[in-house]
Amino acid sequence: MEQNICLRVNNLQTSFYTDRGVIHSVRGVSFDVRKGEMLGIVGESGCGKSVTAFSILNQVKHPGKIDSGEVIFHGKDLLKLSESEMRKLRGSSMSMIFQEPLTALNPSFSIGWQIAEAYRIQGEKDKAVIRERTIDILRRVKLPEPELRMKEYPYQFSGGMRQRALIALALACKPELVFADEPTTALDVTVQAEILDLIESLQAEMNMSVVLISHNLNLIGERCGRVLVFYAGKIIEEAETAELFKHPAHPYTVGLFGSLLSIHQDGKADPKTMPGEVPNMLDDIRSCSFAPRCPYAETRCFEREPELVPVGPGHYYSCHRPLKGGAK
Amino acid sequence: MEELLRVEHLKVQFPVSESFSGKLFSLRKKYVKAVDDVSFTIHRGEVVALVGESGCGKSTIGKFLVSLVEQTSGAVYYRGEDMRQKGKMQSLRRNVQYIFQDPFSSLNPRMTVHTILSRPMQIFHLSKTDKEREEKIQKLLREVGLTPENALRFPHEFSGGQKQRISIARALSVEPELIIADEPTAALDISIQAQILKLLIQLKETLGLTMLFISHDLGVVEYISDRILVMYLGTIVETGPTGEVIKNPLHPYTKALLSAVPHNPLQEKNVEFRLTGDIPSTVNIPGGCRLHPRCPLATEACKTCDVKLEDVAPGRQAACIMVPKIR
Repeated sequence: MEQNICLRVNNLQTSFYTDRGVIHSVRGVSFDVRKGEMLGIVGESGCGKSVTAFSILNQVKHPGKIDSGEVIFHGKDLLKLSESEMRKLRGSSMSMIFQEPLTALNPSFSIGWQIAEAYRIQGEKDKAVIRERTIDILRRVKLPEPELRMKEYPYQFSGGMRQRALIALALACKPELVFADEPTTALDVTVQAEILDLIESLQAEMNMSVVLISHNLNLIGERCGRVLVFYAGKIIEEAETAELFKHPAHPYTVGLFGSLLSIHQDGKADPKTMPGEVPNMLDDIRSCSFAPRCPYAETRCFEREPELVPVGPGHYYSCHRPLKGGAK
Repeated sequence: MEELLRVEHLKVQFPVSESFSGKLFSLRKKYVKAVDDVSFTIHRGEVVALVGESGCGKSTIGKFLVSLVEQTSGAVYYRGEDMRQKGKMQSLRRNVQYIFQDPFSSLNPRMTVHTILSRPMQIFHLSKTDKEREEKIQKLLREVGLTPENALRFPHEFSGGQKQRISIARALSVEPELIIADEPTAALDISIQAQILKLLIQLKETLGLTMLFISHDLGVVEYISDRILVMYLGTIVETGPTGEVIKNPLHPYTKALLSAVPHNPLQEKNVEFRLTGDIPSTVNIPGGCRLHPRCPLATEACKTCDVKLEDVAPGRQAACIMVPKIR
């Protein structure tokens, strides 16, 4: 069991100390990433899914601060490593594919130069080798004519091609674990499918673990084996994809499925709306964070916060009043 | 059904800023052909969806209808009257209202909700007395699910979903006939999206509105619209009743669009149909059928042929030489 685990996160807490108060973005999150799996993290904006990824890479910038928790990777706690030790890990063992390729790439350097930089940092000195490896990785992400295109700059690339270049950059040093933070949100649907196919095939080819972060439940369901549902900085449900789609237990997950508009719903679909809005993360949440919007909330839901408890094999939820069997 | 709006052979082109060498050698001026020969009609009480990927010209059509951009050529008829005649545009402006995609940037941060809602009424002289106007504002706020107390607050005090409700109230303040909703839910979270869509449908029914709904999200489009216009690179490639187009797409581009949408894994999956490569730039539109460089079904004929929107089934049109026509 233990050797199957690539990364373990224990009770991670990250807050942002702003002038308006403390924003508790991640409020105690624990999960494992298994070797070679595609793990999905789904949630609405501001639920802490991206901050979790940034915290694991120890990339939270001021005014953000990782308050507590452990991130165990190869038996070491990443949060205790020095910045120079962490730099060695980033890129070579773990990397990230960002949402917006235009802002993630440097406009003043050619694509080839930016990818070659990853190899230079790794200590590769032979220019011919660097060039060869750069062309090889660009070919793997199916960029047409990599020998010519590597000399071009980000502005000369289309959105889909920039995302391919960014994937090449993230995978340049064959990391074990890749975080893909909404990698296709900035792209059009027809291009989106192509990019996800690419990530999927590269994952199998390089035997990486991928954490795919998205707000789109169907996209996660189509691509991932296991899913974590985030709400207000916590995991509120965790399950295998098929189990989550068949038997969602937490009222929020059920609500998320209810308000999702997929195509091919025979006849007219009737989305069920969730009342209210996402809670303000400036407040200190002590009760169930979903209780104010939950149609099944009871007195105890407003009194104490539920723990993440198992319902079945690999299926966890945090709710006082779960919907067993998935009242969908 | 009564025809409300008809657009004929609309073309919108934007000149590309010339480079120094272009000026020096007086090369031919380049244009972005945002909309290239588009014709369609909207009937009263209908919800028509304009679907396509970014840069296909769908928002340009919407913006043209509220005269935020000018046409290069083409005509608009509103209730049968040609809008190119002098003085006609004023009536179009009142009758056609726009809901923008991003509620964060489409509300003036220095105006209270009250000012935002009363300004359009003042411009069109819609309320005779102050009392009448106050009553109208309260009614509007209640209609979109806000409370009258909200009138004195500023936009930044509201959440995304509430801001979009204010945008809807502003559009309704001049009692329009046609609403153009340009991706009104794209900037919102999924749980809020359904609330706004339900509100739009409810308002459409109680106020008898007609709607042009611009979106790239086919799930949303299937839910809200009666008829669908699929656009690619500035032209309409397929039209028809929403249910039929989604169940049985005819044009390869529509097929690819539907196949690319992430599905619920428990539901039956569409036949996999993928396009290759990226969307070409609208400055250099490929000759022949515009889709041919990306289309897996393309033949030699597609590279040179002249494709037109033709009837392919009752109520349905497609622009593809591979789809059999009805005579």
